[in-house]
Amino acid sequence: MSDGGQAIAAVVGIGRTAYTRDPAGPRSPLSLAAEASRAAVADAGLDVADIDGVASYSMNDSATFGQVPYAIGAGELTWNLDVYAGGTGSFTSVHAAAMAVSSGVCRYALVYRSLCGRSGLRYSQGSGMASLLNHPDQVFDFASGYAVPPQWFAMWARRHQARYGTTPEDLGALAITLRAHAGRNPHAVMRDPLTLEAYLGSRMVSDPLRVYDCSLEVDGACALVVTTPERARDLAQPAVLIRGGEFTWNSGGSWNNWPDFTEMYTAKIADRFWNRFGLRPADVDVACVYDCFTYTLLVSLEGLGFYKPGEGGDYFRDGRAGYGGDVVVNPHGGLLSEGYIHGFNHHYEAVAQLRGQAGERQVDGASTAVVTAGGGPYGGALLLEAAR
Amino acid sequence: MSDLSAFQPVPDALTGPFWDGARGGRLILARCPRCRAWQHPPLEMCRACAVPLQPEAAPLWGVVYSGTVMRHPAVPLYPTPYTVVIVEVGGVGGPRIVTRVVGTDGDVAPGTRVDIAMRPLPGGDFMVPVALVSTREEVR
Ligand SMILES: [Zn+2]
Repeated sequence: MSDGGQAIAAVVGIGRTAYTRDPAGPRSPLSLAAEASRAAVADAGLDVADIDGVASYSMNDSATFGQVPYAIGAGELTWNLDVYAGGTGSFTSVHAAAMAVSSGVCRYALVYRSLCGRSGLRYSQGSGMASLLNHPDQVFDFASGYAVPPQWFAMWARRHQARYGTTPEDLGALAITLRAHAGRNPHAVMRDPLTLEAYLGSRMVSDPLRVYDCSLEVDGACALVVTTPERARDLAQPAVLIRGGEFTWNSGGSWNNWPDFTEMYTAKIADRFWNRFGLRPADVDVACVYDCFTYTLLVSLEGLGFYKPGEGGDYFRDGRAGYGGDVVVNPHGGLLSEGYIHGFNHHYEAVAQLRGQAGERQVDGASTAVVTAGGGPYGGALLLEAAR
Repeated sequence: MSDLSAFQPVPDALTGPFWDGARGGRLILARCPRCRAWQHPPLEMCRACAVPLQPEAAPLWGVVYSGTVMRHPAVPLYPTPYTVVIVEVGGVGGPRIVTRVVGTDGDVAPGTRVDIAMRPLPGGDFMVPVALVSTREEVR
């Protein structure tokens, strides 16, 4: 529990589609976004006409902030924002919506992410790469066959391995824990238990990352409705307060020039984040931490101070990231086992947990959650709290 | 198999010196004439001094910062497996470039000293730097 300070906004509605890998006749990102958005508005007990702000983010597949409100029959907007970003956009879009309602430029902001990550543009297949080929930050990398995220994060992980002796079993402990969590989540795409043997025997993608170290490409959408804490009191669901967030961007250009691949954005924001709220990692009940790859999760938690550098494998193996441990990390299974909705499903899960609506995977007494977004040099973290 | 012509760079004023240099067996990177900082990928102006950067030949050796072996064929230029490393050119702390390794498709540990040479980029007439695993001792 935190210092009880002011919240800047509240999440009052959550909605999502099914997350699918083999859609029978793929749907458009617009259709998925509309379904999730309508669900979030209905969940809040609002009418679509109440929505007067919209935000989203993308780098590839998406439905734009112009299309979605139109498709769901929303009226006039007084605020909108389309963020060109990777995983960081999951923080930036929600944080911006919180500031928008807080400052009064809109009253009810709809924030969503929609993508056909499986049937549409697939990073793992190199789809859409040609458009990035001559990007000034990447043109030289392409020529060496170094172009897609699994390769980048593998490169980063190898440095961590060299410095801290991180083993395949350490990375595997993260994948196994998240899969175990997903086993209790009917919405998760991968729910069968993962053994260490199966993990170690799985196909290598880029050393040291195996296929089970990589997030699950799915089609789907997820949406939130954000408003002020005052308005939240009169709505249909228990409000979840957004206490605030911390963000870092201290790198332009190529990721290759980030000084130390053994740390990511969380190392830069940790002190600011915890000091701002008067909290320590041990005070958090639920941590929804961006996990595009196991290595991202390993080092992001490390940077936030959940464990000392190099101790992540033991932390997961010893059950400290699971039920009955120090904090439940990604109780939905994360991007690794629930599905890759570009990090936005982490917000959904945190809100469901803080409302006490997470069903079989409910974390007992969950009142405080951290939600992070990003990988590599940049990203952010939000603190969410159950309203009392 | 993808058409490799789609994977050829389109040199411009900023990247042209790199590709021209590679054809001549040289590693040409942008460097500030005033503070001597290297800048790769290149920018027009030095980030610190705001003066135009100049193309300059960098040393043809370096130290591996990190590396990975590509096993999933995400980029069709090279048959998998192949090893890619980030090299700090001229020694630890030097400008970083990404290179494919020639001579092994296995792990190349951070700290390994490598020589840099130019090899053809498949599908066109460009040359691209590669790392040759040197027999010299590791640098820490
Ligand atoms: Zn300078």
